Amino acid sequence: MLRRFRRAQPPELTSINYTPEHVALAKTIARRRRIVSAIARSIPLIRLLLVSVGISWLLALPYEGLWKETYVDEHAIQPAQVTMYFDWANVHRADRYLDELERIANATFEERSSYTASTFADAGLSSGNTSHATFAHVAPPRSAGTETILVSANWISRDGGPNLRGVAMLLALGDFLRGQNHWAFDFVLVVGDSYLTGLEDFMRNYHSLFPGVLWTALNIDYPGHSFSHLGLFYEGVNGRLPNQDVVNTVAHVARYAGGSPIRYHDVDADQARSGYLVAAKHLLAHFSFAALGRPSGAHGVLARHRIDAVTLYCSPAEGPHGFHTLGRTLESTLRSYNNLLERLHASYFFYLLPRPDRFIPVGHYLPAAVLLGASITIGGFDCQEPLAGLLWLVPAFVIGYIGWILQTPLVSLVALVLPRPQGNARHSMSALAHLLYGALIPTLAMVNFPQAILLATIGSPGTDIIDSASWRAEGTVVRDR
Amino acid sequence: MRILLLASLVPALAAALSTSNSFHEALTLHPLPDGKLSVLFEFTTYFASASTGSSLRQSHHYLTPPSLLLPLEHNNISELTVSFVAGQWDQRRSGEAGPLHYESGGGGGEVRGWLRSNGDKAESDRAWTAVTHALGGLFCAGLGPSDEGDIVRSFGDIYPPHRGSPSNLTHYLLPHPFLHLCTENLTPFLSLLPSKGLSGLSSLLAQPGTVFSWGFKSEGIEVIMPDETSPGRWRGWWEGVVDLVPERGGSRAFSLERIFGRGIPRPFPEAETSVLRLMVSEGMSMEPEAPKREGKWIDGRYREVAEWDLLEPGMQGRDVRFWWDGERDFVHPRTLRPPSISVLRTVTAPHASDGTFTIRFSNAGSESRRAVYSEVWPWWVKGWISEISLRVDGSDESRDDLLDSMSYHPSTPPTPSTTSLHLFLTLPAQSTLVVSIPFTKLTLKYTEHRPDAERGVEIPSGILNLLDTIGEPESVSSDVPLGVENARQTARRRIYTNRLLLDVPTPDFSMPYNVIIMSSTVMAVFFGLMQGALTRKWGWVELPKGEGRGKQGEDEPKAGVSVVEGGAQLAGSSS
Amino acid sequence: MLISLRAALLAAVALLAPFVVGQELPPQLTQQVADLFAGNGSVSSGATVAGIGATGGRHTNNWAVLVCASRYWFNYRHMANTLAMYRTIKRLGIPDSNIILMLADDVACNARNAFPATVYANAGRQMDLYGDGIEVDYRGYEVTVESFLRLLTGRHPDHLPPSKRLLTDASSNVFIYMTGHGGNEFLKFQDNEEVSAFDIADAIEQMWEKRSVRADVGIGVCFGTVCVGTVCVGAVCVALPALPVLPALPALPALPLLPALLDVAPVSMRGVASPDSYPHRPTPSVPLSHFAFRTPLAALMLYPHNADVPSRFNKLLYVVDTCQANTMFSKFYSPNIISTGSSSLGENSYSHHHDLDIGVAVIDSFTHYILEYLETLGKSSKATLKDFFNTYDPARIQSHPGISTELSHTPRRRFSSPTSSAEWPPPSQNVLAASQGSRAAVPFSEFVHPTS
Repeated sequence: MLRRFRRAQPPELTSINYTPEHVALAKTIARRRRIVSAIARSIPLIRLLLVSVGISWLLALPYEGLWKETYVDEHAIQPAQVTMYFDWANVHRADRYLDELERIANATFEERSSYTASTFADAGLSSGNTSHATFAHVAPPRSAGTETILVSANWISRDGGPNLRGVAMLLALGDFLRGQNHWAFDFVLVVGDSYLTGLEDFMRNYHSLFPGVLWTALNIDYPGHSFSHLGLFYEGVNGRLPNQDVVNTVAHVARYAGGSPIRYHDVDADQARSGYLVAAKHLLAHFSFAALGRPSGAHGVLARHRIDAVTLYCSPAEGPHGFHTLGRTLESTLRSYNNLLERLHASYFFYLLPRPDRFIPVGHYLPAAVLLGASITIGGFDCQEPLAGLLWLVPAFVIGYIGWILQTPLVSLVALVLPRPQGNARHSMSALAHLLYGALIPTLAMVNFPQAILLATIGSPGTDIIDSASWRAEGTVVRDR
Repeated sequence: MRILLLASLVPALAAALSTSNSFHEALTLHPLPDGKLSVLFEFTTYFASASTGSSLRQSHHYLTPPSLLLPLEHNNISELTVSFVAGQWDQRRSGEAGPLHYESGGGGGEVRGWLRSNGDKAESDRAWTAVTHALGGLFCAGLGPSDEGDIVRSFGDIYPPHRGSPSNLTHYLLPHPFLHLCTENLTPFLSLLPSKGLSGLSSLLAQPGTVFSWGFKSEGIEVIMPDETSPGRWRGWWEGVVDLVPERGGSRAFSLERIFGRGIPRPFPEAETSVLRLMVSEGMSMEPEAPKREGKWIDGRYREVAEWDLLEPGMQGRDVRFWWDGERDFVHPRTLRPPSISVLRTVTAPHASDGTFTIRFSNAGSESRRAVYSEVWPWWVKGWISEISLRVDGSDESRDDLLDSMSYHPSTPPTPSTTSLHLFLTLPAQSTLVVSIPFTKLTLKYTEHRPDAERGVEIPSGILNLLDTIGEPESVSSDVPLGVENARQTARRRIYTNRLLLDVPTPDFSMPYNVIIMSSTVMAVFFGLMQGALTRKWGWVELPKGEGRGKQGEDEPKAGVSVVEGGAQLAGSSS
Repeated sequence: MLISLRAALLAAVALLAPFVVGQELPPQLTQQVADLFAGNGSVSSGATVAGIGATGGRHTNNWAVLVCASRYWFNYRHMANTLAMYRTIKRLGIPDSNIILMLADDVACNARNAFPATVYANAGRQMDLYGDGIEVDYRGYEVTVESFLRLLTGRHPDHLPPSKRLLTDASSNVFIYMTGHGGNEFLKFQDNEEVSAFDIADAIEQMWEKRSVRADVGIGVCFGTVCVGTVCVGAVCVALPALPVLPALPALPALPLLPALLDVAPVSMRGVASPDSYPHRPTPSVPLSHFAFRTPLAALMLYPHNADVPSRFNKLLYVVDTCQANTMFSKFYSPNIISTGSSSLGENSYSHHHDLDIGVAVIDSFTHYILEYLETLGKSSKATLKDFFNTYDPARIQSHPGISTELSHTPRRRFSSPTSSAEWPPPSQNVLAASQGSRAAVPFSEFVHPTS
């Protein structure tokens, strides 16, 4: 690009051969050249500016000014507006199931599965199992069978320990739901083996087993004896978030119907020294899951099937809550889900949650990623040999593709031994890489913001180093105009 | 003298009336294995047309509803069935392939019938539309077609006529899978009965609060109009499934009072028969004891049926109680025996724009069966008929031999129309046949979406029509043991699957859609400017001397003038 | 050509009319014709000149249209509102055959309803509004803007059963109740389409000026002594220059309604009929009634029109309970309408209370309070609408209900001179009961059972 500026000098403007239009045109061209060269000279400065604004925007995210208050957008949900019937008799049932489960906690999957299946069957539900999950189907009398809600509790909690109380809660819930006449949805109760694999296996088989569509789901994770707070985990696989109404409904219901306070990610928001640090903790926890595409709870495997779900994690404590609170929270949440007549579509699908009851809408956090992406893109404008650059990029794409197929990032080590381009080709390849990367970041940020930030922060320093080196090499060229 | 004359007429009248016009009602109770009870009301009226019977022209309208029969007569209907179904029938847990009344349709509302046609299709269509709208007004349900293309015309073989031959009859079917069943459908049903919900068994039914708390509910009428030789018959049925087990557990013991809140009602004076039947299950006892107990083949099993005649004096007001010997708390059986044929239809691989219908036919019997499976799809569901695959559960090999033939009537999008598909299948014994039909959902116009577009659209039930049933013999030798099964000894020819809810890809009706469109428009509009600024380079080109005085910047396509890069036109001139 | 005897008489008069060009009409005739066009239509004002049939003044039957325009379980209260009004008017005497009930969703038998087949309007669940004998004429997806407007104007396809038609005539008093979600001059149907106040005003005007399409009806408008005639066959009308002597010209009281009178095929009713589809009301500065009899000749030619043209209501009571409800009737321009709404511009209408076992709000505030009053009425009650409006208490209802009686029939003559342009028909704004005067002194029973 720079070379073209050196092609010819504009002629003298005082020559008699030139018409006023020529003169004006010449002035315009000269002025444009000056502006563009000024900008080109200061591109590194612009990049630095954009990066710093982007980073400072990121750092401003935990600040209250960017937040909005949460609300339940879908009018149908009417959270915590209905009487709950879950009572101490059901809690007693749950305790009895827990005793049985503690006995078989270390048995094989077949034994545990047969116990849960027969317990569900005794409660009057049709039950069965897949290779890694046990399930039961609740068909309330008046439901049409066309829509279903999924409630799951897996054998292993997200802590790594056993989730026996979660499974006991689910068994008690199955017993509780049978015979009730006010549900319009069917229920599928799933007890999956280990942490994620059981539920994933069930979902693969779900559509061959049941005709109902799944819109919402809940996952129960109850590792300790009692709990003081209900933690909500909402990140799904690949950073996909459920509709915000799910999170808000559960939060509202837990507070007003269940009576238990809410946390996100089990981050302690109570003893906060400052709101900023607490919010930063929340966001970092969220980033640590979403940036790497890890699900934060077993509900995450449901995201792929377009099911809006959260995990209810009972933070272990000596605290006051147990089966009763959890049962009432579950019942009231399920009653709210029961009110849905359409798939959730009203509230936000893209958001950041810095604190319970607050969220950051897309428009408030996306510019950070866009600025970072823009800074990278700007670094790619000076591409002199695009074709050569592209050819050199092809091996990188091939390596990436192989790495995706083999599902391992170690393939990228091959890049160390590949031949390197030199000179202009290298610079062009770097420019093209900048352009592509810079286009990737904002696009990805729309879908998975933490991952985009991660890629931007990893990518930027590296490319900047290369860039400054190449700029220095060609510094003389730029000034010569 | 006059009295003698009248007296001589009375027996003739009575004879004529009793043979040609009669009203029969029956209540059948059928306990199901998972603690539920299926309750079926049937009200049957036989009526002769004015031309048959004695020379006296009697009207049967003291028994039959003119509001129902007159539109049918006027529009040349030969047979008509209207059915409403709410809830779902659980084949696995009930052990039966469908509800007790075999004519119940699939989920939602359905009208089907045979018209006497004289070959004029438009006239028949018009008559059918008029009848369905009239009945829709009668039943407070939108039974008429919203568009002429909604009518399905290819089900004549699935629902053969009771009378007459299909050559001069036309069959029509209209499924409305989204219709609800509520009190406003029950009220006209009761008003069609001669007893009007005031006496007889219909007074047990005239309690919407009780009746609509039942799980699976089915209401319907079936009318066979009289012709020259035979009387007509119209039958109304109401069926429901009651949960006998209390919410916290307990015994299943039940009685009429517990279910209906009252004992045996006072009889309807014009009823010729009024019976209460119970299909006795193992270990049941009843009080008072049934005067009549007999064995009957019902739906493939030889069952014992106890019958009470409710017209007997002394029955009025009494309560009939039933219980299971020795049962304190009902224990749900761990395993339930499925019916000999059951069908499950699901959508596997559901994506926004396509999926696969997977229908599983389970034949638990010991002989292979022949059946026709039919489906009705709206115009925007396009099945890939060439990709239909069959296999038997447990093996991956393709079993196309089990599909004998196929009849496919595609829709004609985008005009409203339906697709109907009939598959002639063989169901092998003791196995599950899995039929997969991939399909694509076409795009609906913005205005064609329903008000609750995000919910999806219900697809009518699929129908499995068994071809090799023998029927239920009326009388049978008494040495057949109870409980014997013969899957083909049934009058149930049709088994319905559940309805499906298909997600329809919806546009984003809300504001963000508009914002995206607007911002894309802005970008598109400014794209030209941006692209020009980015790719157009200005520079100076010296033309070789001697060509037109060396004028610079002239737009002449001579050598050296055009410096094209990235498609941008040349330097130094405004073109 | 359908020429009634009256029209023949008029033809004779019209033939002679050119000889009396320039003479003023006798004053009482002027006044009566003015009254007629002002929409008074009262028999007592002597509009029996040459046997004109009165369009009103006698009411023999009552009809009601009750519309619940919102669907979904959480709009239970709108269903309850409508059903409560249904029960009330049934109790007060309108039979099911004269009630058109439109419910956009089924809440009674909804699986979510913990009390199946019942709808309650209060938290104590004392009274079931659904009951045993309910007839819902339009259910579910059938409740659309199009079906509502077709119901009002009577433009139905042939096969629609009579139970779904509004079979009113010129001596029917009609009660229209609408509830749902709404806003400034619109009401939402089924959460995805809207009916605007203009559309309803136009539909009601069509009810008032109902014409049927006949092959040999001529319509004429006279400008001075020159008349232009139009002959309509089916839906096609052809304008012909005509001599002033053309007899039997049913004429137009309001020129802008000419397109409406052409009775084009219902395609113009599709969706929302925009205000531009036909100009819908005369501006107050040019009252057409005056234009009509500026020349005596024209007056004579104009008045026979009502003989063959029954309107579809005698009086209309319009009640609406939505947000900003009072704007819904602000655009009416037909006579004999009394309207009331639950809240004024910029205000919301609130739900009254919630039932925790059902899980949703069960009734709206405005309907709750008007029902409280209506429960005190019986079939023989002599209470008037004025008493009814007097019970409005904005503090309890939590919004400012509005009343409009500007368009209602009054027994006194409203025109003082042919050239005044007072009072025709300014769309009124929300005024509370105190200022209604005699116009609201209409017995409420007129809307629930025949009085004469």
